[in-house]
Amino acid sequence: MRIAAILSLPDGNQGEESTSPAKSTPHARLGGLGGTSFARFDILGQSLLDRTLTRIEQIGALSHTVISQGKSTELLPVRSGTPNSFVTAWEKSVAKYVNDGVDLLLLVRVAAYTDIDFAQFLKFHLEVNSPITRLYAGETPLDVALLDASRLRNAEGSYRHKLRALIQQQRRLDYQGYVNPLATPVDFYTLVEDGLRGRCGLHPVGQETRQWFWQGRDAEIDSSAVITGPAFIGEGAQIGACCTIAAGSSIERNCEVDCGTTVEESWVMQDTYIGAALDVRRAIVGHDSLFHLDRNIEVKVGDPDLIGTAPKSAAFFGGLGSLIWGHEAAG
Amino acid sequence: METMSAIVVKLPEVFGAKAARKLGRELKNKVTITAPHIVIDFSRVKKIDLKGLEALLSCMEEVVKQDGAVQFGGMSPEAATLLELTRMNRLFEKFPGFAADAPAFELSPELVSEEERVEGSVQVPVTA
Repeated sequence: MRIAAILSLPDGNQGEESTSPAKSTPHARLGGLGGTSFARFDILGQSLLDRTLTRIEQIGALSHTVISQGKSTELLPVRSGTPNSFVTAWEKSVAKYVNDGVDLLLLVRVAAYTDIDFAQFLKFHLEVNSPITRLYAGETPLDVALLDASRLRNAEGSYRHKLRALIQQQRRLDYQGYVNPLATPVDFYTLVEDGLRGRCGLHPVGQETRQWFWQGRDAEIDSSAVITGPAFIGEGAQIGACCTIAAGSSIERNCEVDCGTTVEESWVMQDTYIGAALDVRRAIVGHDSLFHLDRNIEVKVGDPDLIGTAPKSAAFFGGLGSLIWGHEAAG
Repeated sequence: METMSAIVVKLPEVFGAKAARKLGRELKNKVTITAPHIVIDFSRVKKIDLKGLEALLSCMEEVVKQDGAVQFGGMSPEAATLLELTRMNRLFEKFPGFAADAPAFELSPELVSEEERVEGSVQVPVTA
């Protein structure tokens, strides 16, 4: 059985397309402000996109296409009126796989986080023998569907019109596991914390050097720094002298936390520099901004000596902006 | 109960180098009494950079030299976040508190008449 996947990413540049076998590259990850989908941000050492791709490969998906959705929020673009660049890119991808003789198309919108077992989903789809199977959590559709590609062959008109006809016959698989909607910055921190505390399947990517503390490759931690688990220090990150990294914190790859700074219950997004002697608590920090989880506000710090881009980072990183702009935060 | 004057300093939305210099000048002119009481109003502040923080430290230093006290007036969530980030809130907490007459805070007019509205200060009565 030949399986291919089409992954759509919220935000980002609409209709922008990349195909397998490459996973999201560091270059793609370091996009411009607002153009970077949050699915490309590292969370506990790996992006949601790369984690999804790894799980898809495990069920034998031969190839995949990643499409940026822009403002569209549909997994199956059947309601869209005038075709936009996302719909055009989606149609093109479906056509490619249908013409290549793929049997099953796995459609995933990398938005909400779930611990879905794709193998179990595939098994269910084959058992019920429906043209489309969708995953639901209660009455809420999750952004995952399996589509029998053979039903789209010899379709007249667009694939989305054909899909609209098939959707009446869709079957549901009820998912009982962990779901995080990733609808607000607070949800993102909740996912980080749940991953650190083992409440979901989002495991830190690094070595557990002692209980509840994971460290990525080439992370440098000064011997005078105090770390209390659960905590994660990502690949290539630097933690300066006399820093305190307290429980519930994730410092992602290539971050630099300067001397004497305390980070507690916070998510420091990749490539971020945090200046000396600061106190970061209950916050998401990225590029030049800080989102305070309790006050529910984003503060542009605007001083690279306080919070900025880490010297190690290869390029400008969109950081917090994409989280905030993608999901309206109450002021 | 002794009544004395407090100086209310209303900081601008962006408290950077330029505004910091102006605050320094203003305070030099205004803080002429011994044991001055300064109320810093952060209610409009959205952004403070290192120069702004340095100016606040200088202000505190001057006040301490003259045996005075500094306390917060209004506080925007952005300013609260920035002061916590830089641990400046803890420094402010070191000063002994003083009570200001409530109506005086409501006045909080701005004396800024220069080219930009960077900060205002006004003397108001307080009880010590």
